[in-house]
Amino acid sequence: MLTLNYIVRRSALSLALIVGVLLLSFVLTYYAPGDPALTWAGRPRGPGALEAVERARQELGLDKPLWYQLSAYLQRFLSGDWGISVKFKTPVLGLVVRGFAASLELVAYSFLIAVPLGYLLGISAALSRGGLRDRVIYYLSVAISGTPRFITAAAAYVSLYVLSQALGTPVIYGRVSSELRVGFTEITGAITVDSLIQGRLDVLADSLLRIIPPALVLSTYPMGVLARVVRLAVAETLEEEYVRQAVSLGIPADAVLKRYVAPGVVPVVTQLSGLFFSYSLVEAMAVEGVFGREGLGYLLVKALESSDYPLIVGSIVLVSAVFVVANTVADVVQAKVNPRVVV
Amino acid sequence: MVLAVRSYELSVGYEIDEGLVWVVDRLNLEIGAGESYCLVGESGCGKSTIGNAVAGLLPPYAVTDGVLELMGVKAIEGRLRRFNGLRGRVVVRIPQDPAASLNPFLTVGEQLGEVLRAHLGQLTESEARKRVGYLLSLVKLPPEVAEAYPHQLSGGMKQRVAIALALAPSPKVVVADEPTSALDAYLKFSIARLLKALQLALGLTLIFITHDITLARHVCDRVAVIYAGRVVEEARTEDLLEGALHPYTKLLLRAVPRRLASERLADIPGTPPPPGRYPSGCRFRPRCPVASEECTRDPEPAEVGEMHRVYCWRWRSA
Amino acid sequence: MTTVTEALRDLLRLIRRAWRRPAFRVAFSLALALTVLGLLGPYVAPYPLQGLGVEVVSERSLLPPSLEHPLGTDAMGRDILSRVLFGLWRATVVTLLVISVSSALGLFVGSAAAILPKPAETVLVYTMELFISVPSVLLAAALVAATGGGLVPLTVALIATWWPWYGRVAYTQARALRELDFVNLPRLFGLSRLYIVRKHIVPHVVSPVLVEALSDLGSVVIEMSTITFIFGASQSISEPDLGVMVGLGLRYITTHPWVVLSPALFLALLAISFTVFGEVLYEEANPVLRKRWFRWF
Repeated sequence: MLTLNYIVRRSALSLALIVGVLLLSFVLTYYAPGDPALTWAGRPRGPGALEAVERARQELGLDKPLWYQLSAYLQRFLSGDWGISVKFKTPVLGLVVRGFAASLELVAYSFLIAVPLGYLLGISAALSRGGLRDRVIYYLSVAISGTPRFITAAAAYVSLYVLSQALGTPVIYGRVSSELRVGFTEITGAITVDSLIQGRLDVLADSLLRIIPPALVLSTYPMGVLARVVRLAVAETLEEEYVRQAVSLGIPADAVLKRYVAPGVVPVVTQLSGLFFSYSLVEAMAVEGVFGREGLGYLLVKALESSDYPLIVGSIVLVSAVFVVANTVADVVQAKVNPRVVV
Repeated sequence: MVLAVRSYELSVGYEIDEGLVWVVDRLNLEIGAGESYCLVGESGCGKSTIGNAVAGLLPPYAVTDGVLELMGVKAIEGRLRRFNGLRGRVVVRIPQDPAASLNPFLTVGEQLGEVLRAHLGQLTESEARKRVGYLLSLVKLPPEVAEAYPHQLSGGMKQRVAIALALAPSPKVVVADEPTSALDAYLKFSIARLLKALQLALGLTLIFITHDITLARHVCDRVAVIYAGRVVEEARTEDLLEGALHPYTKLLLRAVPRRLASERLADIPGTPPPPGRYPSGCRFRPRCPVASEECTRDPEPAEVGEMHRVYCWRWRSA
Repeated sequence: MTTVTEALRDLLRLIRRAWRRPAFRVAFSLALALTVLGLLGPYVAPYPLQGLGVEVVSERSLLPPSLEHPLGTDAMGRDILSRVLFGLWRATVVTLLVISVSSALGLFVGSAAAILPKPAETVLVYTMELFISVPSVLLAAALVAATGGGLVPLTVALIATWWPWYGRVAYTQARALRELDFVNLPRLFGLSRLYIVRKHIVPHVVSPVLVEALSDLGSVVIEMSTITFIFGASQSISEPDLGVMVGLGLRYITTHPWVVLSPALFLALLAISFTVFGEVLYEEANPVLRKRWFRWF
C-alpha cells in the first residue's frame, strides 16, 4: 500500500543511488585504465595534444588528495558543469540533455503504441484459452520480439524507401524535413513537443509522420513481451478463487474482467514497463541510426569516433539518474495499485 | 412444499488426462424452500462437487448427466449447463477459504458494491452505502469495515464478509462449502450459528457442506451422508444422530469426540477409494464391518422411517 | 559439486517437458546448430584471414555470391561467409560468457546478501540496484573509449549490467529461505555463514537463476548486437562482429543487398532461436499455463 513513509524511504533510496551514479562516474573518470588525463582529453593527436592533456590534468586535479578530488568533482557536477565535449566543444550537459530528449521522445511514442496493444493482445490471447488465436499471438510475438530491432528497422526503412520512391511521398528519414528545420528552434530536444509548444503545426505534422515508423519498429519488443506476460498473468488470475467467487455471485463477465482480473495484471505491467525503459533506450539508439534521427545514439557514435570521454561519462550520469527516478516512480505506482504490496 | 433444489439421477465427472472420471453418481435430492440441508462426508467424497454443481461453478472440463432444477428452473440437463441469470439471483456459494475468495484489490465496501451493481443496476452513493451497511450488520460487522481491504481483516471477519457478499444479491439458495474448515475452533460454532440465524431470518434454503458431523446438529434440518460419490443415508438430523442405520454413518458418529464420553474414539480402518477406482456394488464394502455377499450389488434405497432413507443391504444388522 | 549435478538434472527434466512443443524442438535444434557452427566457425571458414579482417582484397570488393564466395564479398573484398562465421563465433562466445559469469556472480552475491548481517546486506543490495540503473550501452562506450576499443570492454560492460538481475532473483529466493529452520539451525551450531550459503541456500536458488539465465540468452544476443551495431559506425570495433557487419553493410542495402542480408539473417536466426528456446523453457518452469484453465465466460 502507498504510504507517505514508503514514498519517503523510496525517495531516499533513489537519492542514494544517484549519488552512487556520480561516484561511479568519478571512478570511471579518475581510474580509467592508462592515463586518466589522456582519456579525459579525448586521446588527442597532433599539434596541441600535449597542452590538451596538461589542461585535462589540471582540470581533474590529478595530483590533489582523493577527498579533494571527490568533493571538487561532486561540486562541479551538482552545479551543472559536466565538462566540455571534446568533439563538439560545447558543454556536455546541454548536449546530453538534448540528445537524450530526442531518444526519449522515440521511446515514449513506442510505449504509447506498445502498452495498450500489448495489453489487449495479451488479454485476447488468454481469453481464447489455448485456441488458435492464443497460439498465433504467442508465436508471432515471440518471433517478432526475438528479432533485433535494428534489423526490423532496416527492413522497415528499406520498404518505406521503396514505397516512397514509387508513390512520390517524402522519405522517412531524420526527425524533420530539412526545409522545415530552418527557422525552427528546439527547446527540449523533442521536436513533437517543441512544435506543439511553439504552435508550429506544420512541423508537428511532419515530425509525427517521421516518428511513427521508427516508434512502431521499436514497440515490437515491449509489445511482444507485454502480450505474453499479460497472457500469463490473466491466465493465472482467472484461476484465482476470488474470480470464481465473483462469477458465483452473478457478476457479469465484463465487470469481472475490469475489476477482478485487470488489477491482478496491472502491477506486472507497471513493473515490466520500468524494465523495458532501459532496454528500449539502447534499441532506440540503434533504430535512430537506421532512420537518421539525431539523438543519444548519434552523440554516442560521434563521441566514440573522437574518444570524447566527458560526453560519454556525462551521458552515463544523466541516463542512469533518469532510470533511477523512473524505477522509483514505477515502484510508487506499483504500491498505489496493489494494496497487498508490503512496504 | 416448493422444491428449491431438485436433482434426478445427477452425475458429475471430470475429463482429465486419463479419461473421464465420474465423481458424483446418480444423485437424487429434494430440498424444500427454507430448509437447511447438510451434506456430510470425508474429503474427496464428492460433496464439494455437488456444491459446485448446484451453484453453477463446475469447471469447463466437467461433464454432467441427469437433471438439476433450481426453484423449478432446469439448470443442468444432461451435458448442458445453463446458469446464466441463476448465479447470484437464485443460488450463491459461500466458499471454504474466505481469504482467497475476497478480491484483494478492492475494499469490502467496493466489493459489496460490485455485487449490488450487478443485480440492482447503478445506485446512488447514499443508497449504496445504506445497503452495504445493512449487509454488514446482517453478519454482525460494523459499517467501518467497508473501508478496509481484505488483508487487513482477521480470518473470522473475512468469512463474515464472504457471507455478506453471498447475501448481497438476495439469493434463494445458499451453498456453504465447508465455511468453517479454515477457521479456528472457537469460530466454527459462531459462524455456523450465524448462518443458521440468517437462514431462518431471511427464509433461505441452505445447503451446508461439511466433514464435521457435529455441526449438523446446530445448523441443519436434514442430513445426507455421502460416501464415494453416493448418498448412503439421508434423514432428519435428530433421527440420523440418534438412530443412524448405515454402517458408515455409525462409524462416523463414533469417530467424533463427545464431551464426557468415556468410550475410546474409534477410527475407520482404510481410506476412501479415489474416483475412478470405485469398487463394484456398494462402495463401502471393502471397509464395512458387516459386509456380505449381497453387497456386491448396488444398494437400493430403503425407506426406514419418515424422511429416513438408507442405501444399504445390511441396515438391519446392528 | 552435487548442487550443480542436481540443478543440471532438473534442467534436463525441464527440457524434456519443453520438448513436447514443436516450436521448442525447432528452436532448440536451430540454436544448437548455430552455436556449434559458431564454435567451429574459425576452423571451417574458407578464408580465415579475411574472416578475421586481417586480409583485405580491394579488387574483389562487393562481389555477388558465387562458387568461390558463397555469400559474396564485402566492401573491403573480404569473404562474407568467413566474416559471418567469425562473427558467429564472437556472438556465441560472448553470449555464453556473459550469461555464465553474470549468473554465477549474481547467484553468489544475491545468496550472500540474504544471509550476511544487515550492513553487508544493505551494501550488496545497494550495489545491485546501482548497476541495474546503469545502461549497458553507455558503460560499454565508456570502457571502449577508455581502453581503446574491442569486444573485451563490451563483454565486461554487459556482465556488469546483467549480473544484478540474477542477484535480485537469487536474493529474493534466498530471503524466503532464510526464514526456514534448515538455515537457522546450522547457524546455531556455529557453522560459518559462507558454508551455509554454499551448502544450503545456493542449491535451492540455483534452479530459478538457471532458468532465468537460459531464458535471457536471446536478450543478451540482441543487446550485444545492438550495441555493436551502434558502435560499428564509429569504427571502434575492429574484430568481426555480426552487428558491426549489419551496420556497415546497411548503406549498400539497395545496391548490394547480400552484404547486409547474410549477417542480418544469421543474427536474426540466432536471436530468435535463443529467444524461443528461453521463452518456452521459462513457461514450462512456471506451471501455470496448464492446458485448461477456468474460463467462466
